[in-house]
Amino acid sequence: MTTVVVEPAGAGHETLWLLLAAGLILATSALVVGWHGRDHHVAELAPHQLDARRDLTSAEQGLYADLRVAYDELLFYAEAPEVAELADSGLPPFIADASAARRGHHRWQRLTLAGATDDGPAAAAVVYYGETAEPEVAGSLLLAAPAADTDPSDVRVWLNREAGAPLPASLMPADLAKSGWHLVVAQFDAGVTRERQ
Amino acid sequence: MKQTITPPSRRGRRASLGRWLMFALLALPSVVLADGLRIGVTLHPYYSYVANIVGDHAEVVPLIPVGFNPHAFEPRAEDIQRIATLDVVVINGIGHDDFVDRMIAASDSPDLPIIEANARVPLLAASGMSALRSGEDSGAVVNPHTFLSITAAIAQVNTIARELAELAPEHADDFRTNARRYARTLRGMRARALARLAESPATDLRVATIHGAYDYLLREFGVEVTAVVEPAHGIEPSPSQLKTTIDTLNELDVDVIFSEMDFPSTYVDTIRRESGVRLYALSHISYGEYSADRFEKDMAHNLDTVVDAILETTP
Repeated sequence: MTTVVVEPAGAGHETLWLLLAAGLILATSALVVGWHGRDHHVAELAPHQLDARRDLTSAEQGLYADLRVAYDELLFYAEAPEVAELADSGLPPFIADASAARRGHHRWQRLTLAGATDDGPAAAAVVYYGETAEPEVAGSLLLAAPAADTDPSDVRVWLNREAGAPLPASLMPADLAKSGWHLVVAQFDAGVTRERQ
Repeated sequence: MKQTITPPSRRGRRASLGRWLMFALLALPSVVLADGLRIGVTLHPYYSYVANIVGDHAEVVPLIPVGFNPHAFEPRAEDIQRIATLDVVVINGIGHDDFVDRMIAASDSPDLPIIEANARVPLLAASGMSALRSGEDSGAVVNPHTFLSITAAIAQVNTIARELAELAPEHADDFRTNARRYARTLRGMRARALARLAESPATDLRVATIHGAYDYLLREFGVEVTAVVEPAHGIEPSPSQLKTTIDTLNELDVDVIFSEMDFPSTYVDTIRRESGVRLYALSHISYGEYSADRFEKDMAHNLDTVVDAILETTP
């Protein structure tokens, strides 16, 4: 007598193959996505630096933007002008307008400090110092005027949120840090809306 | 002896015309180099910026034809062909004209020089749903609407003028002078608007916007945006989103809502009716004809509108 074993009807093998195929597709997709993924990591800042996008209040962000534009205007002057002259030409943030009143009531002065370059101390540097009347709205600000020995595209703005912020002895990083000043840095880099780089 | 002057024969006239045309064609390349810079722009404000910088020294060519929505622009074959006729393109480059990369890559000039107008603008983080959707840390998504602000506009004008001066050094002085004059004009507009607020007390105004485009503009007034209503530009919120929005506006005790002139929608009226908050319409400067004074006109309206809103809301 011949015995034939007949397997019960079922989809065990098909299910297995299907699951294997699905797993393979998922693994391949994960590899492709990982391979083409972009790193949006933002450069780490030094402890004495502040990110203009993440670390400033809205009033400080507005003032910082105005100072960068003011710096472009200062490039047209042979010598750094007095604050009154800048205010007369309607240049924010030196003009005392309604915006200044809403952004910390800063009192601006032109001062001369011991300068600094990347390599060390330098000749005296002209700075514009904006002392805040409302530190909780926006800190005091310091803008280095363009100088012959600095890169004209290198806008340097420092922020200090202490009430009655002391002026630094010089623009050397150590002196600035010692008196509580932080360099504001605008990073035109990673961002999921910016994929060119 | 009487001298007769015979008129030139038709053949002679043709030969003379041919020589003149030949001369003109030979002279053309130098004319093109001297004054024929063709500068592409992606958005209306950039047309105004560049037109005011270059004056008569260059032609400004919009990449988006009049009547197309820049938020949903899909370039046609003729739009891509136009790229090959340009010498340089000025772009926003931070999310409002991403289509331009694909256009340039598909064109006959894939190495076309690009001026990134925002390279020296301190950018703000995106607000509203686009920022929340990304799931990234705060600030990973930047707000691309730098062109809706006076300060950021001047920063971009300075960058564009600087880069164009390098491309066409023979006009560098004119570009710089024009840029500075234009910046002064724009600063004057802002100063006039702020002068109207001189007597107004600096109160904490709570503002919501339908579209997350006006953070740069409002920051010039020291005003921060409290909430953004719209899920994405031009997309209406669902009924449940609308209810959540109205509840949020009531909860945040918002004083003013800024909507958009170019996106009138019934849901905006619903928000106004249900929340009882005053509503003012701003221009996104992204629709209609391109012109050199378009930015000034629309920004004058925007500045006036923000001042009106502050004055009418301040007790």
